[in-house]
Amino acid sequence: MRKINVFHSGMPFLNQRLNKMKKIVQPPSWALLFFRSFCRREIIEDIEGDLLEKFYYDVNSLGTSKAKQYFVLSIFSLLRPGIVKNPFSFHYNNTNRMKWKNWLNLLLVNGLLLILISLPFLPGPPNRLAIGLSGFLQSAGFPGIIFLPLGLLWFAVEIFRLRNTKKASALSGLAYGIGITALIILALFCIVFCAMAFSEAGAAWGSVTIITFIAVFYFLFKRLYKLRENQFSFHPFCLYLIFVPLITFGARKIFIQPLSEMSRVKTIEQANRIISSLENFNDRNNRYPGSLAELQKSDPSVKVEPATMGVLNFRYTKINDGYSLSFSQWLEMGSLEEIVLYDKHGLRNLPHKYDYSNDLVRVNYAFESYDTRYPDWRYYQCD
Amino acid sequence: MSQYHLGEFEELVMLTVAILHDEAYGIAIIDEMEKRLKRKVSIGALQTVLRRLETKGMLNSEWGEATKIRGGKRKRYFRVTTAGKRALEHAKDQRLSLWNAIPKPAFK
Repeated sequence: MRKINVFHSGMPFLNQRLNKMKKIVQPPSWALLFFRSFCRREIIEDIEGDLLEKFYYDVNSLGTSKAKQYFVLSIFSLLRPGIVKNPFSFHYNNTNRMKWKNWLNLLLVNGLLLILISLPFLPGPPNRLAIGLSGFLQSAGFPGIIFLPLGLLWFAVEIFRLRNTKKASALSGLAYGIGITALIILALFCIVFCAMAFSEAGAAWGSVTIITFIAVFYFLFKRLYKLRENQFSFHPFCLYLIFVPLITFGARKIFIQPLSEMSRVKTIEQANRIISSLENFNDRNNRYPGSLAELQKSDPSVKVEPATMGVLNFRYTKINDGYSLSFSQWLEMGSLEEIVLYDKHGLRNLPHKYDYSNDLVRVNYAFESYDTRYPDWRYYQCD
Repeated sequence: MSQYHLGEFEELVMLTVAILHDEAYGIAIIDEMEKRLKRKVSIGALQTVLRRLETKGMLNSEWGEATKIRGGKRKRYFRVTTAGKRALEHAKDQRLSLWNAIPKPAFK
């Protein structure tokens, strides 16, 4: 370190006078904070020192208000490449930054969540797990009510910890405590989901779900444990607690309706091919088939399995000389069922024995129903 | 582009750093340039050029003393390197050769 203790001869001011002035006059704090937020940490010290030295010189020669104006202008003149730090860099202190891969991971996790929530409405073989998973993740918007404030609190603790290195150890412990609390709450929800997966999707899928959750929790716990050791870098887990509930809640409100409409249209188009095959069968045999299996025997080219993951099957009901064709898709958090019914022969209006597994009975208890753009197709929303 | 190519402002900054010798830090460089060139120099423009010249190897820097008036922040003193000196000499030779090539009637 250099040991020169002389002010440059071009700046003749008295130390004492300026030190006294420093107690009375301060540069605008908002401007200084703004500068600290964007300046690269490797060069921030000497530039900030220059700004302050210039400020007090200007106070002496031009007055306080001019000095403040020039101070602010100088800070804005520093908004240049080479001075402004990488936007993914987070810290004011000389600590490790949140890396770009942390942001990428956050983006991937939230992208994966959106895909999983949309799964029942996407093309693919029918799968109960897709419905359950989507419902579970949509429900995650509600416990988000607990996770969101936890995430915000943790985020505030992180910021405070990085600015107060003396208290870093204690605040790391607090951050760890918040993280463990969030993990325990998440584990309770996952236990419920695993039980549902076992009962609804079978032992195989249930086992896969449990193993996946155990692996994820082990990974998360290990990463959380490292929080206590690494006191000087920003831990991005709090951002997951903030963004994940917001994304799941937002997806439920924004994406479910257009996705369900899209999958409804696609499935109706597929069902229309089954209907034309049914009519051909009727033309040939003067009757409709007793079941879809019989139809498929006579016309192997017709596909009776739905091509959307959340639509488990087509339901064919033959009564006298007429028939109906229907399918279901699950909407809001897996609790709202939408029954889409083709009923050209008006079978819905016939008297039926009460049987809630019969769609022709269930649609009479729907709380809302709507026409579709396809003739004789209508959809009903039931709890 | 030649390895010795310097922009106009870069050249001025390097010359000022050389003039100030052991006392070339941010505010001192600005003050000297404004005094000699009779023009305003913004701290942003200067700091960008200083970093760029340091990256190019034309300048090097070292920490100086911290003072109360700087809020306890240290000064960073800059010095012209050998490569920087060669670049300045190259720029000076280029200008002199252009000046010498001007015929006498050109400025009548």
